[in-house]
Amino acid sequence: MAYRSSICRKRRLLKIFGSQLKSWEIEQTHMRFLDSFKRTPTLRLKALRESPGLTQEIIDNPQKSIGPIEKGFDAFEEMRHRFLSFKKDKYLENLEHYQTLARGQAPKFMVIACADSRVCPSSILGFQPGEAFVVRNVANLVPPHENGPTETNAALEFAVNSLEVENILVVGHSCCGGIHALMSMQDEMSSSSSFIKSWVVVGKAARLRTIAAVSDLNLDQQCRHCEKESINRSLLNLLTYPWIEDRVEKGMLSLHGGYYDFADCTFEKWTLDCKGCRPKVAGEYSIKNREFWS
Amino acid sequence: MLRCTMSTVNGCALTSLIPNSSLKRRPFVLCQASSNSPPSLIQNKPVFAAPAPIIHPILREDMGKEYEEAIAGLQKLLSENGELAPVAAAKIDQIKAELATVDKTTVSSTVEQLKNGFVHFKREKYEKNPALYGELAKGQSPTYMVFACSDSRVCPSHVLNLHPGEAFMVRNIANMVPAYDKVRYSGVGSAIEYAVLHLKVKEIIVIGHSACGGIKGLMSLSDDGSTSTDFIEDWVKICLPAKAKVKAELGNAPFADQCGLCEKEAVNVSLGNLLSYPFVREGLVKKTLALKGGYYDFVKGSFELWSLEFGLSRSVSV
Repeated sequence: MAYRSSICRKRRLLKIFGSQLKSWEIEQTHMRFLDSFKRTPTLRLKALRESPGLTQEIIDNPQKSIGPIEKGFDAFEEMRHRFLSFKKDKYLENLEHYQTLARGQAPKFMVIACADSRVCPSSILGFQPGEAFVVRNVANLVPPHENGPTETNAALEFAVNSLEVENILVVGHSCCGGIHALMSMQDEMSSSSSFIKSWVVVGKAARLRTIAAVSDLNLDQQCRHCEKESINRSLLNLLTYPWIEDRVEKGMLSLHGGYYDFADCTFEKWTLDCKGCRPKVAGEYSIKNREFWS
Repeated sequence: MLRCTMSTVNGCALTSLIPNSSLKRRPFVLCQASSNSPPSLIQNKPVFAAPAPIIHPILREDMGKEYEEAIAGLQKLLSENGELAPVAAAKIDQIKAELATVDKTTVSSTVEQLKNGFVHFKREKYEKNPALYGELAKGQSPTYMVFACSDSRVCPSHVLNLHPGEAFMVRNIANMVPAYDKVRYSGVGSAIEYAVLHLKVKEIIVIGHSACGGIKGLMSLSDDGSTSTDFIEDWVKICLPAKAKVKAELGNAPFADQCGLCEKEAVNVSLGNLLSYPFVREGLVKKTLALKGGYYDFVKGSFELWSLEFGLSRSVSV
């Protein structure tokens, strides 16, 4: 079977400068895979690349324009309006502050939150630009040090060692799809074609403790319990990183948990009490400074 | 309540006194204005000489060190400009009095900040939009999936005015999307899988930004493969193709210019990596999904947006 595939890259450069639209440029880059089946008995693909530069200006060829321009245009317009309103209402109103931030950031918080569209820490906790270094992944999980490199611990290393944040806050929430997937897994050890299962298994300790504690409750109630237990497991996993443990012991870094319940819009927060417990021994821990905001 | 920074209100006089090194951590002041419009800066006059106090700064607990420096600066100004003595001295006494009453416990100040932020959200957003938040409590159906950097200055909720429920958002160092790898990169893969197959988002947008520390780290990677970090360098290697391209095109340019180009090229590498996920390719072919790249320049105050188009033609029998 022979096929011809073409990848067309059309880029519309939309520069927003002040309130005026400066220029529109349409660029095209073509990549074409040619089938040379006729010449040889085996299938060979030849990549032909015209215009190698992604940022070079290329002569527009309207005959080769492909794509749903109308649909793309609406999305561009939407983003353009949103950015301009940010620029007018926030950026230009606080220009000196933004210029200072442009020279460097010094956030006091690192926040690990779920990627869920409803729990952006900037929205629910009011973090302004420059205040919080934020990592968002499915189910706000922090894998332990022994799991090896992930995007979450790369961000941890940068926040703790380079930015020297003073607080790490892990924020979980109600009705978390990732925790639901964790609690619904039939057999957590089996290999799966699903990425989700491969990831949420990081929280298996929370699942085990939940089942041990509240196995008599229904799945939804177990998920509520697991959402909070998973936050604490993540806080303990933070202590498996030597440079985090070191700073916590010296009092330079505090670890906090937070739980946002959007059924009735409440927020619960607590701090891991690292002085009075031995988290590495049987995974036990204690918490302090617990507050409930409603 | 008018929220403003020290620098834009009465910081003009102070910033001219305080050495640059102490500007690294700027005090964040919550202000209450007596009028609705922000006060204009008084040029060529020390602010403390204004006829009536316009702003009553409420100090945060963690500003002790910066304000001690401010007091030192004011005292230096006094020694140089004798006529300002009474007004400036009164201000110094006021700041000292306020500092003495402030609770210097760092933990309570951070808790206070979080609580204020949450209470503000609940009052101004949640309680004023009960229908929206009622629906969101039942489930989410975001239109967008956004990849953004973890950098504290580039939250897309601010920059693109995204409201709760609109964007499923992944944030990591240098907003990178690695290629399909269930063992190494299950974190990112799970987010893409959840967004595309379960939430059925319509657009995936990868947003890069200026002065990105992660991209700077990528451009600084040593050629012999040696690393000095546990995890950071291993992560940013994902966009090595962008670095190679930049070196080929701008090998002789200043490092800052190379980083600027790499920030945009890395977005394109990530867009290309998205194509390695079968469910993303399928969504593009069926036109239920679109991919876009973006670049937020907070130095210039600009935003660029572009799209990646992908298609497979019908197969032809030969």
